[in-house]
Amino acid sequence: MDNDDGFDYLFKIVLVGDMGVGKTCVVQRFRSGNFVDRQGTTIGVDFTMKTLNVDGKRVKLQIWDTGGQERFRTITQSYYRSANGIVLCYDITCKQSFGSLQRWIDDVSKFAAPNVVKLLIGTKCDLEDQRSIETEEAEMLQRANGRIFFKRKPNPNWISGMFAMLETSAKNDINVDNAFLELATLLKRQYDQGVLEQGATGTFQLGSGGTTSINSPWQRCCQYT
Amino acid sequence: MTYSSIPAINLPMHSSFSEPNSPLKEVLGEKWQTASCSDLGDNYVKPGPLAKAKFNALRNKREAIDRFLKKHKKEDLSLYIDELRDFAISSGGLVDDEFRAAIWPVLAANLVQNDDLDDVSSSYDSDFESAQSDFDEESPIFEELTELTLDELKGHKEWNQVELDVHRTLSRFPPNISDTHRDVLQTELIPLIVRVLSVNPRFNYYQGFHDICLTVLLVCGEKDALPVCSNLAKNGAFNNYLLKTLEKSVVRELDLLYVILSRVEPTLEKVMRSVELGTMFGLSWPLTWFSHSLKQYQQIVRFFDVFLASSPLLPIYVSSAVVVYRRASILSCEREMPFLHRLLTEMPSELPIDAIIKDAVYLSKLMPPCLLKTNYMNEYRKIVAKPHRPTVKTIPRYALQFMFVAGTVGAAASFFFFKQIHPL
Repeated sequence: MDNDDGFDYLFKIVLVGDMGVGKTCVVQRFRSGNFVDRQGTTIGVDFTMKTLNVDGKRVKLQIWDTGGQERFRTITQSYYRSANGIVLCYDITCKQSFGSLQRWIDDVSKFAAPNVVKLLIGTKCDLEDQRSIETEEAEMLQRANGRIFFKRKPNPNWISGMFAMLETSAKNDINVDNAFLELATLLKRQYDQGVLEQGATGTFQLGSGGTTSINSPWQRCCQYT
Repeated sequence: MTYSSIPAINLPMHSSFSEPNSPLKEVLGEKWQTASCSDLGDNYVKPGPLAKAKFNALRNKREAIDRFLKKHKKEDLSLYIDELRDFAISSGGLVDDEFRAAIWPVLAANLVQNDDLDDVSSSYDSDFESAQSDFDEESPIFEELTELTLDELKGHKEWNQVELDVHRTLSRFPPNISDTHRDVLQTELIPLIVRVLSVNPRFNYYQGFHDICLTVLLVCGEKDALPVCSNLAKNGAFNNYLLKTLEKSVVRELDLLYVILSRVEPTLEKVMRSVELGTMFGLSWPLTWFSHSLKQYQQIVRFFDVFLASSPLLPIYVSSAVVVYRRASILSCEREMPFLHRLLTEMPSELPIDAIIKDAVYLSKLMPPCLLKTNYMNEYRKIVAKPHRPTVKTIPRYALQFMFVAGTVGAAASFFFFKQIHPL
């Protein structure tokens, strides 16, 4: 258990996706740097957290790892509601898990806040020889669902929808940390904007005006891969 | 009494998979292959009066069960179901896996039914899937289940999912099982589960049911595991979980945990309710009879002894007893939902299993299911409906963070603003 209470930002992240795509392995790799082959099934929802350093600030991520089996789906939906970010997972070697994404996306739009930030990750990218989903295919899906700019709320440059796609491997430690770092970075910057715009009122409310562009700093973090 | 005077067990059973890690095995040589009570094994390392007493009590029980089984060897053990249930519930449980392999099938064939006619969910609308009362009579008997060929089983809608889940059961096997043996067991487990699911075409497999079947397979072996698991699926608590949605079965049962706590530990109940903890932390407890969250094999089989011999709602009472046992940790934990969720999800590796079982059985006598689901539930609803006045007002930590950030920024902004108007 990490007892480092100090943090500057706190965001709630929920991982969703079909069972067996490796959500728990991704979380495990991110949290402790380990890889457990044939991880047990997740029944219900597990919780973990980790603090990252983003732009010199401590960003604490509360990560909810949901059980992917159809039967747990309705139970875990209540965890979407207060999520700031959603990580949608599919397995690059499993067509079905990719095909299910639309249902997960629909669920998220139904139960999560409208301004929730979504990241798409393909898991098990170490299994290149078994690949059945091409990177381009996933990128197309990401673009089709991505970067919805809210015109008024919370602020004109707020990026919602699916802002990026990454292929990861928990086994070979590829892109797992990046995925969470990208998510944390985007969330932090967007919230900074929200706070700055409403700062003078003394309460935290997401802004409804302002012009600062989120795109330029964002592109820098996409170069990690 | 010397150890050698204890008779060897002659029942036709396969060898046990319990961990023979305790020094008992050395002391006792070949006689007892297992030392199923981990309490005994650990304490016997450092002898003391209490450890000796515990050891003697367990040895006596082991002998008593052995004598009993020998005496009634030729009879139908179902005739002695009360005695068997007593063995299973009382301190130490069935002690050895050899005994378990003989007694679990009898317990499973005579499961305790709900002591009241309507179960938790029947008072609600049951439009989704019908309750267990209308269980179809044409469900296949065990012979038919056994006759299903591997190809037929592979055609079952759940085969693929079960196969995937079974491959992920690595951590569930006791460490004294070799890799080859584990492979054999895993290969047996998949058709076993699918056969059980074939009992009723309306059964919906859930992740966690494989944990139940695995435990039974480890103890009873392939042949006996099928009738045991089928009985559990047909007549036990799992029937509801397999037939209904989880919200309408296990989640409603878990809601009773708060009703129990509100009566035995109101402080705990208030803390848990005030952070909106819910019951998700304990979802796997009734679904897998704790086999998903307990780390030691001995603890798991000990719980199975009791559950096989008790009302289908006992796992909920045990869940409550586990929460009460962790009272101090809960009260000293940060009053936030995620922290409490994580605290309770992670089961401590050392648990006083016998004490928890005793507490749970006591709770089930104190507030039997029929009262719990009716009067007590209604009373609890009234408590919850009252406006809640927390004794200590807490401010969410992020609210403070955001207020601080916003306040600082605001102050800076006004500073710069006024500086612009009145340059110093």
